[in-house]
Parts: sequence; C-alpha cells; structure tokens
Amino acid sequence: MVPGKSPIVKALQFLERKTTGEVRVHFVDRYFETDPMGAALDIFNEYQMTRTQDRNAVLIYVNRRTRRFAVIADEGIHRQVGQRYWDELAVNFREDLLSTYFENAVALTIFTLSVSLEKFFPRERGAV
Amino acid sequence: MKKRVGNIRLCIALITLFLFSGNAWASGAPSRLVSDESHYLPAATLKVVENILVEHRDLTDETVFLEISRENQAPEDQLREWAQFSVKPANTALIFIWTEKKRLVGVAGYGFGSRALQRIFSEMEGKYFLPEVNHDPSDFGKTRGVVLAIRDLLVALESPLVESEKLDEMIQALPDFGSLEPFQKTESGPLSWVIFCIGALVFGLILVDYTLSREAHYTASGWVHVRRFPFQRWFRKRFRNQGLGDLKTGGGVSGSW
Repeated sequence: MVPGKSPIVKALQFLERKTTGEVRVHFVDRYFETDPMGAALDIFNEYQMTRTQDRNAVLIYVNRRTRRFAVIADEGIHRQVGQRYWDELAVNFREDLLSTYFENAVALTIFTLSVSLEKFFPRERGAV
Repeated sequence: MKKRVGNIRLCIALITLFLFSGNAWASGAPSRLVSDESHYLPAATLKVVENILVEHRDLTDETVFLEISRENQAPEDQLREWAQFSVKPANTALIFIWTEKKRLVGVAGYGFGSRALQRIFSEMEGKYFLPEVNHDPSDFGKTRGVVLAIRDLLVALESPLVESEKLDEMIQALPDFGSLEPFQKTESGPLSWVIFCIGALVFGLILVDYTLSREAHYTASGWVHVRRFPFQRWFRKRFRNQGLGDLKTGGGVSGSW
C-alpha cells in the first residue's frame, strides 16, 4: 500500500469512519475495453467484495482512456436504495467528471455514497 | 620361336588394349548404363532412362551412367573411392543416387567442362531430385525426380535428343508422368499475407496496450498499482475456470463522460 494523501483515499477513510459499508475505487488506463461493467464485475469478484457482513460493498470503476465508468453495488446496499439511486448517482458522477478533476469527482461520489451507507449501515459509536 | 614371340606380342597387345580402352572401369563401376540394385525405380522407368542414355551415347559418344545404390556409406566417400580406382574416360558422366541418404551426386570425365557440370549436378539434386522425392516419396516422385534430373543434365550437355524433342517424347511415354516442370512449393498468396499482417498488427496493438496500461486500486488504507500480465483476465476465465461463476451483486450502472 502506498500511503497517499489522495482525495480519494481521504474520502474512503471518512466513509469507513461513518459506516460499515466498504467502497473501493479502481482506475484503469486501457484503450481496448468495450465492457466496463464486465471489467468492474471482474474486479468486484477479484477483491472478493461480496464477503462483507452486510453485503454492502460498492466498487467505482473508471477507465480514463475510454472515459467510461461503472458502479457495482452488492445486494445489501442495493436492496436499501434501489436501482434509481444508482442511475442518479451515475448522472451526478458524469457531471462531476466533466466539471472537475476526476479524483475530486470520485471523492464527491464517495461522499455521496457515505451519506447513504451511513443511513442504512452506520458504524456503532466507538467501533473502529 | 616365332610363334612364341607372336603369342607374347598378342598378350601384350591384349593387356594394353584392356588397360587403355575407354571402358576400363575398375571393380564397383557400373557395367551397364543404368544400374539399380536396390530396385529404387520401377522397371518401366529404368527402361526409359536406359533408352534415353543409350540414344544419347549413340548420337554424341557421351556416356552417362546412372547408378542407384543403397550403400550405407557417405556419398562423397564412395565417390572418392570410385574416382580413385576408376579410369574416367573423357566424355563420361556418372550419376549416383544413394537411396538411404536421399543424395544425388555426379562426377564428370575430363572431356566435359567439369566445373560447369558440377553446378548442373548440384542443381539436379536441389532443384529436381530432392523436391520431387520429398514431396512424393512413392515411385511417382522418385521417377519424376530422377528423370527430370537426367533431362536437366542432357539439356546442359546440349544433347541432340533435346533439340529434336525426342527426349521429352520419351519421357512423356512414361505413364502419368505429368508436367516437365519441377515441383515447387506453393507460395503463400497475397491474401494470406494481408491476413497475417492484420493479425500481427492487431496482436501488436493489444500487446502494446496491455504493456502500457496501468491500474490503480484505492481503499481506505491507501492505493496500489496493480500489475497484470497481458490477457490475464482472459486466461483466468478460459483456463482456470475462475470466471464470475455465480457471482451475485445487487445493482450497478455504467456510463461515460
């Protein structure tokens, strides 16, 4: 692990303090990729993100070369928020990506996610 | 006394005649124009070849021998041995075919331009004999290889049989001999080259893409570079049976910007 002061890492640390949910971000720089959703599912599977206790993991996958992204949510969180939530998240994420640096855009999305995750999967006070 | 001297003279004359006759071949040299102890060629082919060589000799006084042998000896060694013990008369050429080693070697008497003929001999082996025999090791290929090689030699010797086209007539009398052109490997067509080049280009592009591609994975603990071999995902899916399987996620969304 590279200890970084990336806004993404900061946002993830903030999220983990608030909720038991798990969010990971995966960037790729690759020209020949036609299916970001399939690639994101592979990453989701590779990092065994379905093993969270409440099935509340979320993966944000961004290909900077093809300028495409995917967001994958596990069963637990999806059951709580529904598909419409992800569609709106994608719209906002797209706008953020167009209007600011992508790291900031991702961090903003993580903050958005942290609100929802905190609502449904709050971390108990005092728990690490 | 006179009779005795006469007998001695006769003996000397006979010995001299034997030693200096143009056909005084040492043991091991072929006694006929065509010799095939190993039955390498079909009888019909041998007959045609012998007829050709006899006619050529009758017309030109140039003798071409063909010996086909199965001797398990290096052709060059046997040739050297043969040349050592044989009197090579002018205007005589010998063609050896070693069936075990698939070799065709020639030697020419001093009446021929030996250097030029040596080039012809090597061409006979490389251009006619070996391609035909390697392409079709049956009697058909052997016949074509030997006959076309001899034809090439006679063309080089400017045989009257070639000029009168009788040589080709005699060759074509062989059943199903086919073309007089030697077998040549089919060159790959331009289309296959284009397909190959396109394939290589696509493969190269994908390889370069994978080589230059980068991945980073972020968690709350920090971030890491992820190194992947080219086609790692594809190999994992195909050969390790580690595909997504029954992976069930809740929902998801994709988009672009």
